[in-house]
Amino acid sequence: MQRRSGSFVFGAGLVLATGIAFAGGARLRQGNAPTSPRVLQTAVGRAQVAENGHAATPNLGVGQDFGGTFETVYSLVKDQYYDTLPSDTKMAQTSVKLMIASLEDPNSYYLEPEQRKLLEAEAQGKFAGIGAALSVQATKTAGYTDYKIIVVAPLPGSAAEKAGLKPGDVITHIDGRWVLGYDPLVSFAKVAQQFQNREVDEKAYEKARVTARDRISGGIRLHAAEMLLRGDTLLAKSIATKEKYALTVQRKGQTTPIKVEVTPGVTTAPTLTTKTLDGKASYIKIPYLSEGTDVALTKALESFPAENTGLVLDLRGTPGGSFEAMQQIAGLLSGRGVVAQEVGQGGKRSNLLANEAARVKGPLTVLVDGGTASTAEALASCLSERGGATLVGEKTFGDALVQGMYLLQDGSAFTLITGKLVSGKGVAWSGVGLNPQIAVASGTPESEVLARAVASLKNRPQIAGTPTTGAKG
Amino acid sequence: MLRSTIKGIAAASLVGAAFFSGFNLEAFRTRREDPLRTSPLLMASRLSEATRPKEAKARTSELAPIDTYHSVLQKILSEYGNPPTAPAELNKWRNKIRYAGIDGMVLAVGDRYTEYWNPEEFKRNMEDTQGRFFGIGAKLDVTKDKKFPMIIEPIENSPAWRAKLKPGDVIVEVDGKSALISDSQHLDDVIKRIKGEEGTKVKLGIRRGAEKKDYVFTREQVNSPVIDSWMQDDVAKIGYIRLDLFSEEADIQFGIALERLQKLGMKSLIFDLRNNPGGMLHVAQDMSARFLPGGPVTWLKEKNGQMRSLDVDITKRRGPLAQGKIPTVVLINGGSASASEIVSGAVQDGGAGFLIGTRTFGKGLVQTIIPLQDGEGAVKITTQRYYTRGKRDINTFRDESGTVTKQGGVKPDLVLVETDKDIEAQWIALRDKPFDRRAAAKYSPQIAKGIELLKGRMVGKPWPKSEKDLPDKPEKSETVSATPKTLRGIPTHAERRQPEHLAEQVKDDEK
Repeated sequence: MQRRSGSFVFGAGLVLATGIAFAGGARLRQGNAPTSPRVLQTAVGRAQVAENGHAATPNLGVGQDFGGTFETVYSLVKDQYYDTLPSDTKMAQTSVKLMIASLEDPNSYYLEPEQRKLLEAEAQGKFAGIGAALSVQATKTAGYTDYKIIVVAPLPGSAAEKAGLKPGDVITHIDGRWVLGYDPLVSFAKVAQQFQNREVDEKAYEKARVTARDRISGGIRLHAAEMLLRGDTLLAKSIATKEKYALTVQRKGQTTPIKVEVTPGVTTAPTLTTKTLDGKASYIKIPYLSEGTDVALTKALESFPAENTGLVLDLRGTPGGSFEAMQQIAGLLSGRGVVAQEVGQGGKRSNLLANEAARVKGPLTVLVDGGTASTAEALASCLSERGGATLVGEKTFGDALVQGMYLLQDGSAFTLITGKLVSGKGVAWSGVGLNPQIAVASGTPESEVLARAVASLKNRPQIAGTPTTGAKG
Repeated sequence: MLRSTIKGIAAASLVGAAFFSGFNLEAFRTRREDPLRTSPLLMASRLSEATRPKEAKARTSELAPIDTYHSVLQKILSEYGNPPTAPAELNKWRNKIRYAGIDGMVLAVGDRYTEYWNPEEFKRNMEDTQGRFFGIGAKLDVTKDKKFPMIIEPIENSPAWRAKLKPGDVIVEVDGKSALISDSQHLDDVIKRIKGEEGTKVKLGIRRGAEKKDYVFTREQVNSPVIDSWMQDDVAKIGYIRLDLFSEEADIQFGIALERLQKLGMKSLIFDLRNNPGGMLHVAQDMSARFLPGGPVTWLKEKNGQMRSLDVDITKRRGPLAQGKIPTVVLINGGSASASEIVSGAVQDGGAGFLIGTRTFGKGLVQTIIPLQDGEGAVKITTQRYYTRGKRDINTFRDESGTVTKQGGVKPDLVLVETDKDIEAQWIALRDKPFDRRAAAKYSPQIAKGIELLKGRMVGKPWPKSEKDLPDKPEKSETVSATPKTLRGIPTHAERRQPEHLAEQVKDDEK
């Protein structure tokens, strides 16, 4: 007989090269076969394929109903698990959670009913938490992706505004805890790589290792941090200890992080305001594209004196809002037609249409800045492309992701990024923003900004013969 | 943030359509009403698309897992904006989502042993249970400073053995890449890189002392031996058998080892189950039968509460151990789990040997692995609980945070701890004299104690007073298929009852 070898057993910690991960009085059983003691003792490796009396179903290829395996596993677990099972709802929820998580997309996530309500309230213009529109953006670096929670625009009167947060601010810490924007392990692996095969500078290595470890143990998950800032009270109870959050913020052009305190609360986006500027120009500010904004806009347009010659639409700090409102407003200001396009799966384009006829005459100027984002950017680009509007101000935020929310029957929901917006003519602003035709530097006094806007109305070349013009009036 | 890897490349398929037809019909019927309501319009990033207030009322109805899975999967596959474009990648991506959905459903069960294995995981796990894989044939641990993998021992006649690798050799590189152990590269990850397809090559950078040398190995099938045996004491004729895993062939190998030791005149035996994580239930049954004259080996409690025994097969040839002619010491520790606990529990309850070491792991649960059709992996489900021969519940119960709420495991008759220092002494001995495991074993206080007790036993001394756990009080709620008479009738070597009679009785009770 061949002499058998094997290692001496060195107590705990020994790992066999075979990597035995399989501790258990485990038995292999032919799939779906009825329970009987004889079958139960079928050996590993003898039966790899289920025998349930019919041939394997042919592979139907892409696009088929993929559910077969799930159904089999579910019924096997239901049928055979030795102890009490959780509710079907719980099993379904966890299944959805992991499916969404497997997308590894920070903007596609599962929402508990409470969280879903927060997002729905935002659509109505009610912002909980710090009261700012937020955006999660990704930067790809070699080997890993770095995610950031960015302030798009603090709402007027919100905690974020009182704390002095500005569009573009990156929130890096909440109560001193690092927001896990990337995987510290992956970044550490890069450091470790540098140490390979040479005598290690122990101190540098240790420092990198400890930093990575601390970042994990003292960190907040990206999505949890985001939901916390958006007012998730359940999370707030389990994560934050105080009523106020201390936020650490990175601002462009500043090397030292800014630390601010915010007291979360609910902020309602202000409604549309109007006035008449010098030179008989009408002025409308839309702080947020909530539903019903189009109705308010119709009224506002009617309220201006007939002799007013042009319109200044102020979208500065407008972080976006509802698609519907955006489409309606685009119609009111530039007539029926294609407002924007969504570029979805496989580059497939679908048109977002405006059904309203135009209600304005005369030149149009749109004020924008770094807080103009998302549907507000879509509106600005549409008005510029189709309505002949002049964009005045600063470069816009550059957010064009389309996020769909899908409701589940138990009140929970999930979001999916379904595509990106481009303008009707196909101009993309995702990640880059829209450049105004007339740039106004940040910090210019308000009176001067408005004067420049009014001036742009007068200097604006008359645009005629565009498809939309006919619809006007 | 969740990180997950792309796993599996299996083609999608419908599985078990016939068997689950009733099920499918039901699902089909209800599926007409899409449980998802897609919001009427999409929303731009961050700003919630409006579900209108009247629709936004929180629904509180239940979710049906199959319908929900179908609908959500369909939504993701058809609407997610940025899936991979290359067909192969797209297929992987789809499967990743499918498997994640199944994983999630099984994860909700909340049992650490109940899990879905996608095709890749299934393949890997099957390699493990069969103790067979393609590699270089060396057992690995990490170096003392926990920085690199280190060779504990090459398996005989393996590529590593032929290259004369020695215990203590440090693997610093695999195929030119660092083998440095870190938070992102565990020992398992390095092992995964060393293993591969049969006949392929792997280059290892190996450091011995200050010298570093590259070796190129051709991967071979390595039959990791699960058993090792030798005559520990030539004078007192004390045999030693160690089992690493209850693999399919473990019992046969045990028989061969036993025969060889008997030929050498073995009078008593040390059976080492330390760090044996378990394995196949029927192998545990066969092996226990070698020590016991008859009666049950273990009791299985089915989902419906029924207790069913797995018995000693008395039709098989009975060896000298079952006849009680060879005093036996069984070594156990916290790494002895599952099948190891069945065997050691049966030996203890049957009075067939004396247990030395520390309390075992405490895994009183049986899993069934069910392979799925069309290479869709497998599902492992905890299907039963098991109790020892004497109906002791040895499961360690933990709450959600992992804190032990009820200590289980088999407590040895004599609790004796092996310290780190003892372990190191054995390791040093083995490094100085590779392959002389018998010499190294002398540094184990547990083995030394075993030798001492067995020597005493052979001159008629009784075992020391046992420190074992007292039997549990039987649960009132459970239905016991065997009569109490049978229970009392479990023979021990001390009692010497007719095994045949008993086995018949248990069978009758089962009918």
